[in-house]
Amino acid sequence: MKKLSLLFLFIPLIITLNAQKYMTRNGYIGFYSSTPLEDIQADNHQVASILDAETGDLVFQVLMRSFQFEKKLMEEHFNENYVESEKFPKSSFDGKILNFGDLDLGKDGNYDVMVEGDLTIHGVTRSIKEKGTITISEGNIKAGSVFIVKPEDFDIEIPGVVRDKIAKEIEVTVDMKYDMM
Amino acid sequence: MSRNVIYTGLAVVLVAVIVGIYFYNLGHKNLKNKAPDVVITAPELFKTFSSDEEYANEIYLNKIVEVFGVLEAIEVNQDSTMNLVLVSTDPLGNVICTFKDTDDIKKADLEKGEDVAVKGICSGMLMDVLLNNCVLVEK
Repeated sequence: MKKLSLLFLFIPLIITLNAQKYMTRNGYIGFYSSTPLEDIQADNHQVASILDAETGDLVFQVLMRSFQFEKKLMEEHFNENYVESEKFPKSSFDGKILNFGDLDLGKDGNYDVMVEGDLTIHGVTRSIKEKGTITISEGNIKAGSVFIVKPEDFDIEIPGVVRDKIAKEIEVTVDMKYDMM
Repeated sequence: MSRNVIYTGLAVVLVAVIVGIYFYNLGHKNLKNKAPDVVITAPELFKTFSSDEEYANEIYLNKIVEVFGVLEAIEVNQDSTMNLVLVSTDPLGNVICTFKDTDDIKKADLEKGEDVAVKGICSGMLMDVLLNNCVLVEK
């Protein structure tokens, strides 16, 4: 009986804790490299992300092997030579939405946000600060952003033979649709 | 004589260029007719990853894995690819198999709770163990 009443004591706590977090297991992150010689696009629809609606904390995790390229050879080069996905299978972002306090999650609308945190790719962690948008519609939260990543910042070496085919600045697109946890 | 040498040389270069372009533009192989590197059940696969991810990556990462399991859900992604979610025995995560070619799934008329077998390339584990380029394995 004592145990049971203890359980009832915790139920509201568990519910409120859960209600404040949003997550997705199939968010989208893509990147695009454009040079006069070749355009390269890769898509990953298996991104895991958690957004804490109380604090604005934001976490992303992706598997490098889940990036899909149009050409098999590109995918092989990407995994084996550039990001070395055997050695570094995951990339992640761990940060927060700086102006999260300005958002009203109960009200539909588009909000411009500033996101800051640590981006880890290829085993190298860099602090980044980028613009994004949060869209709230009927209680659903979507998050999006487009920003630039430089491979050299993450010690990703592009060999001379293909250097002209791969841009020095890669455009990264983020598109998340969260569900309440 | 020397003309012949030049022609042969040109022909060799031409063939090399054509072969090069062919391999460069090669699309992704369909796994349908490829033998799996490993055959395993969904709960076992998840357990291997959740208990020792580094070890599991060594065995399964980028391998063709044939996985058996009970269907938990069918999901449609934003890009119209589809996921078959196979249950693990762990409440924390499942095995998610992503299909680019969704015709087979639509034809198979699958239902939740059904036993399915899927072949795909293992990308590793986030919250769930993920397989890509999946195809259904005929029972």
